[in-house]
Amino acid sequence: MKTRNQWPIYLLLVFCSILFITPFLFALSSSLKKLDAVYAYPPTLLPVPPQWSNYEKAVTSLPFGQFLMNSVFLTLACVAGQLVTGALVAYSFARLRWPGRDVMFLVLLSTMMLPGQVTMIPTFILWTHLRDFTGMDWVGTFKPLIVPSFLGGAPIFIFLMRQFFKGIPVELEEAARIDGCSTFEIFWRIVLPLSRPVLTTVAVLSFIGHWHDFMGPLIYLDRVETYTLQLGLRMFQTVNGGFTHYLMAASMLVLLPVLVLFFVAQRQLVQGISLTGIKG
Amino acid sequence: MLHLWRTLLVCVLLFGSISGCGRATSGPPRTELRYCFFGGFQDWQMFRQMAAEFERANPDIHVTLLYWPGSNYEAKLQLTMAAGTAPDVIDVQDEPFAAYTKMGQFEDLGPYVKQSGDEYAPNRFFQTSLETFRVGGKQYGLPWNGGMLMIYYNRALFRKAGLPDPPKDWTWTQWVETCRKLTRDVDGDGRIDQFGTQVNPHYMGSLLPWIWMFGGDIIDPTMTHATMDTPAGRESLKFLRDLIYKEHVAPRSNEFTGMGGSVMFMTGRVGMVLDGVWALPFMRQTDIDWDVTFVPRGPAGRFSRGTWDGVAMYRNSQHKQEAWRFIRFITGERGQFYVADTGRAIPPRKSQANSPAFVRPDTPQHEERFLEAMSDFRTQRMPERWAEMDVVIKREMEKLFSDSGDPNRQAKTMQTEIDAILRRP
Amino acid sequence: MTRRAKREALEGILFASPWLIGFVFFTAGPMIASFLLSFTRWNGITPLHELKWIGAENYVKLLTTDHSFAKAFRNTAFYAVVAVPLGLATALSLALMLNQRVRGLAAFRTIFYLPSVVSGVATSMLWLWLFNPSFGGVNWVLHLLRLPEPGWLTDESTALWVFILMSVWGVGNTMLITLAGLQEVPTHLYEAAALDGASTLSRFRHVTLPMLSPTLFFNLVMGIIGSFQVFTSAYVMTGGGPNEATLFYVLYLYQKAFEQFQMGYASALAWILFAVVLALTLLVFRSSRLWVYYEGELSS
Repeated sequence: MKTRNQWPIYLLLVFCSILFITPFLFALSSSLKKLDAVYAYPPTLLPVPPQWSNYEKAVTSLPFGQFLMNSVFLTLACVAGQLVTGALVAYSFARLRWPGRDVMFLVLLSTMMLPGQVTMIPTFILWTHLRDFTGMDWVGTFKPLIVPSFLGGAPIFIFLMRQFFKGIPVELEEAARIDGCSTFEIFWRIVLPLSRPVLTTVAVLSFIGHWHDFMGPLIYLDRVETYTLQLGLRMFQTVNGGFTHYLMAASMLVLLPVLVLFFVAQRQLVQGISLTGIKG
Repeated sequence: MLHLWRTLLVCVLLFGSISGCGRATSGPPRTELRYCFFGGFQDWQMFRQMAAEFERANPDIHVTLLYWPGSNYEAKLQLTMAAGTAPDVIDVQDEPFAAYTKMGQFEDLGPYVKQSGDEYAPNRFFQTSLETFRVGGKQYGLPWNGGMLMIYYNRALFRKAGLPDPPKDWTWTQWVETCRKLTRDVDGDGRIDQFGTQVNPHYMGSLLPWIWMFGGDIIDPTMTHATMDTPAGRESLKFLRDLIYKEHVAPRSNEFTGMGGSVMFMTGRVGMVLDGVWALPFMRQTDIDWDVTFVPRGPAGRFSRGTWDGVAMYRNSQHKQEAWRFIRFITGERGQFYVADTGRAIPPRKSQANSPAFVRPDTPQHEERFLEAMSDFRTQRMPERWAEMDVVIKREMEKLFSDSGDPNRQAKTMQTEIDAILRRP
Repeated sequence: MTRRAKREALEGILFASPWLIGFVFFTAGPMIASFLLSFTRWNGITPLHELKWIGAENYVKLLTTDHSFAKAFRNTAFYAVVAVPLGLATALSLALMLNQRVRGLAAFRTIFYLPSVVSGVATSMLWLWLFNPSFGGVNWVLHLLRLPEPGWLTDESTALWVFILMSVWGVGNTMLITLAGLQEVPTHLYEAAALDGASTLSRFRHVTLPMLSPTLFFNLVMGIIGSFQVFTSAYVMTGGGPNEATLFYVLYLYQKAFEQFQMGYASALAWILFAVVLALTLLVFRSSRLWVYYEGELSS
């Protein structure tokens, strides 16, 4: 697209941006108000005076440092598992021939349509009873949250990676095979290095997804020391309402890492998505 | 690039294995007692203090606090019950209590209570608190906190309307008159923007005092059939609806609805609101000049809807003796002291109720009226199928407060449907 | 099979083994269990050996006498039918605008992506306030513009629209995918069309849309799947009201399972949902032959 007459587009963009960012600005301003000012009418965007103490109160009434460490650990572990095992599985679906492969791929796709509630209870009971077979606790630890990521992870990411691998010229792999490389060596030394775009995309999207995961930690974590940031946010909500101003303040803080990550990685993200050839 | 990922993976695994190691425990092995509870972060802080003191007094027990925040407490609890691994001591509200008991999840605390002499004699507790957790004549739980609803009123708005503070024993006609004086069009735009009170169909607890004061109730004392379609029941529904549609001292559902009456109250849109003792922390966060007073007296008397939260022992607990000791602590003098200290709930044990932390003599508000009103405390009857009844009640109440509402029709529907639910085998 | 083929098959299964194992134990197993549960009456708490087998009674009751089920299904279907196309259109429009060489692109992209990363709890509370009929931001703006102020979440006819608008606000991910698809459209096609004298609109209809159709297809499928799973926001904001106007399917499922102790019934609900989403997705796949063009199939 040429740069002729950009002003209409620019104005439209600015108008849409205002629509999109205004709710967020209200959240930000609520985070700096006293509780009754949050609901005042007409609504004010600028809190006067700004209650910076809300942030302090939000962070000190709960062990946010611990929550942050837990969120970081859990998210990074899940992303690592997703990348490693997801890539292996995706490569198998993309390049290796084995009986039942195409059927299983369709099964993989159909599991994306499964509502979580269908399997929530039986899965929970399964994890609880694993204790009898292995002698150690599973529920109440991070394990039920991390293990699924090491078993291939989310089907959507396996799908994206498989599409990308299919797009790599097969001649490269065939040449390596002739040179005597084993399948794993081909995967590790040729395919993966070429897959940076999709790996980056999956890493970023997986990070954002796990950072936000709330149901998983809610179901499987018990002790406050193990809680993640999303679970911690819930503590500002009580049965009869909530400390909305603290909730908003805490939410702003929880939002920051993801926002920064996105701002920095957005170009690679878009590139990576396009190169996966969703068209396939 | 791959080197980066590899090192990242190694770091993560290392970190994980380190933090996954168990806590270093020195000294003789302690019994681990698990206790689950809900609430806001203030409850968490309170239980941490309680657990710490309990452990000091009982060095052979370690209390693992399981704080399940948010509105999914019941779901989480049921998951653990389904898996057979519910915690040893369980914090439970009065609403689902009967259902859980009927499903055999709780241990009968009768024998334990008997061993404690007269520590649990009825006169040591506010009435109804012990009964709430009795099912089939047996004590399956013990109360640990509770409270009822009082009228929060905005003194600034009262002054503006030329009203004095409400008298202690005012009648419902006086209350309606006060509502009228508080309902005004403040900015002269033809729309009423300040109401006397507010009626919330989703908060049944706040509507019950009015139903009771006319002599009505939802179900009968034996909890076998509904009683809404009676003269008293119909009259109370008519009274509530008239507040909106005849007197217009309460907003219609499309006029002023928000996240509950307390929000409307906090922004000065409503002069009086019926809310519980648990609203105190939120009110204290505002700049309003507020105070609490008693519910007015109706033809059948003066009642306030109260509720108790209890602690129960899991039937399949492996540490019943220890669980009892903790339950005894929570409901005993020291535990109840902590409850009073948080200033947002009434300890059911009378001896601790008058704590200055709750009553707060240094503030202009009269929190002690909550204690004085204990004689009006009346609990809702909650049978096993309460959740299904609640669906019907909410729906009919919403209809009642809509433009097409009719007290007689709603009373009849509630009667027939609740009867059907209760009579099902 | 040749020795080589056998070896490849073994390697294939080995590479795929993480997912295969996970699938058998953590997907298929629980799925079968929940399927069996849907034929029982179970309160979700008492030991499994005490549950009662009642055959297809749950399904029959669901499909014939359960008014709330019908309401929940209608609500969710309406939401899906409106929110998904609206979201796709919004994502497309935003992506088209962002595909220009404008200054501050990174900032704009971040602003549009921002809503999808604010935590669910905060978003729900925020929108509860925004759409409050009396003192919310939206009605305040409408008031200033002298427009009618709807009752939003308190009014049965407008309540679902709040959720629809919320989902449009969160199109960040869809927008990114669409943008990626746009950037893949070969520029020589545009140049060729321009040389042929095609107008901007014509170029959009005959070059952009067909080339974008696989991306749109992907977004459509993902959108349908997602729209049937709305839960947390409805749970926090309305609890299904007023008068079941915002009773989403999964919310109803949750209520049956955890608030009314009818786990068997809830399992039946879950399976019906699965069947419906599966059927819809298959339908979309089938229809894709009519309107989705893959590269290499395009005739000039």
